[in-house]
Amino acid sequence: MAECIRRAARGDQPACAQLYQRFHASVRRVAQGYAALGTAEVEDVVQETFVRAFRELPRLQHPRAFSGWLLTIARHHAYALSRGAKARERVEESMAREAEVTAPALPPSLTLERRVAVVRALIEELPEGPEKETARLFYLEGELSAREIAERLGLGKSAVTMRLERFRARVKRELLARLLAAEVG
Amino acid sequence: MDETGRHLDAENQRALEQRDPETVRYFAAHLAQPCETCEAFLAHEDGAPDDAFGLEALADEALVEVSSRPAREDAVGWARVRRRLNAPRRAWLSGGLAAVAAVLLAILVRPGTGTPERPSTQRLKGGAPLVLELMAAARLPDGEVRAVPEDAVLPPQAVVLLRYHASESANALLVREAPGVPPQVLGRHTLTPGTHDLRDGEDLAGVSLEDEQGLVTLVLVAWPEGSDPAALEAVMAGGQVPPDAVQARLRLRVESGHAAP
Repeated sequence: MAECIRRAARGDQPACAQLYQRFHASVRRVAQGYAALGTAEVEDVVQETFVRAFRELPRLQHPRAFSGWLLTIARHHAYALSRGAKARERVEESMAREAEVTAPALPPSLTLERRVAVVRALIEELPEGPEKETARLFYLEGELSAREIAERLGLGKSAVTMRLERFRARVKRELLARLLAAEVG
Repeated sequence: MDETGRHLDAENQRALEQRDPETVRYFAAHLAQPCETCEAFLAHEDGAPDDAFGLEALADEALVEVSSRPAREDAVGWARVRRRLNAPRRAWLSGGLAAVAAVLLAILVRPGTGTPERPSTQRLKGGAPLVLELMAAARLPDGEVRAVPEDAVLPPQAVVLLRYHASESANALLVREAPGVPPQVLGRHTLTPGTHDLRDGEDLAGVSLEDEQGLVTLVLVAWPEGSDPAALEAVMAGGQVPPDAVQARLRLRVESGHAAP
């Protein structure tokens, strides 16, 4: 994958195609977490994300950072599209900095496999109820969009987005704790 | 400092970013347990704290990976991205869809039956002539793949898949011609003797018709292996296909609202 990313950064189109096919579903999934976005808008986010990523790929400092960087671009685009013009301006400023991101070595407690296990455990730990149902449907089953989950559960779109954000914040809290613990030693 | 009410906020975030040892130690322990206040701070994207720890990316990578659903082919999405990048109008198909498309191409477009024009030939000194034929199928918006005859009318959502027959190894260019615009080189290919799908490495090469309107001609122009590369380079640079080059053409018409050839 690292070689593919390097080739794509040099403008190699088959490599770009390969990256698109490998990551489009993940990018789409990030956008689908915003219930305010309809199907066409989600596809817009996917397109915008890859166009931006391929244009700025030569600035990415390490291939290891690619997937996280790509998903962050997707989240920024999705967030901006679901909000107003001011949010879009802030996102533009923020994204201008993203390509400079480096890829510090991760502690063993934060490998992708361990992080996935953290997500599973956090869903499992949630008390039975609507929060758990929403997290399970969106993250574990991974088929319905936030908008479709809102329709299925008879909820407002913003309620589902908020639940997903709350759960995501829980994941971030757990990951930050592990990062800091690794620094403490 | 009273630690009991200490939660993540802008000030503590700054201290963490500066790796203040006491703050790092405190929050390593504090965040190991659920904390609604800190989670509310981390959830607040508007006015977002700088993501100095790369938390957003770490979280998203894990969250999209957790379901591990197999990704489906998205040739149309890629074709759109590629167009936005102002690159030549191409689309790639790979994996399961490519296999289906290749089989359909082979069945629906038999060599010699779909060739739009008489085969074009060129003879290297002392050698047999290079014979070139071009056949096509289109992947339509409903996912169906159908054979495309000369002068077929296609919707702009179609992706055209090409198959060639070459009598010997050759270097080739795929060129798009349309009235009123300069010709555009879509790609460079190495042709092998026999009948094959036109490919880019592992992927089936195709041409997206998105945003096209009216007459479009796809030209596969080839030079036998060992030919002077200058002719190929000249076409690469300008797109103009010399009339005496070995070429196979497929003329199409793109019209909105047409669902099938």
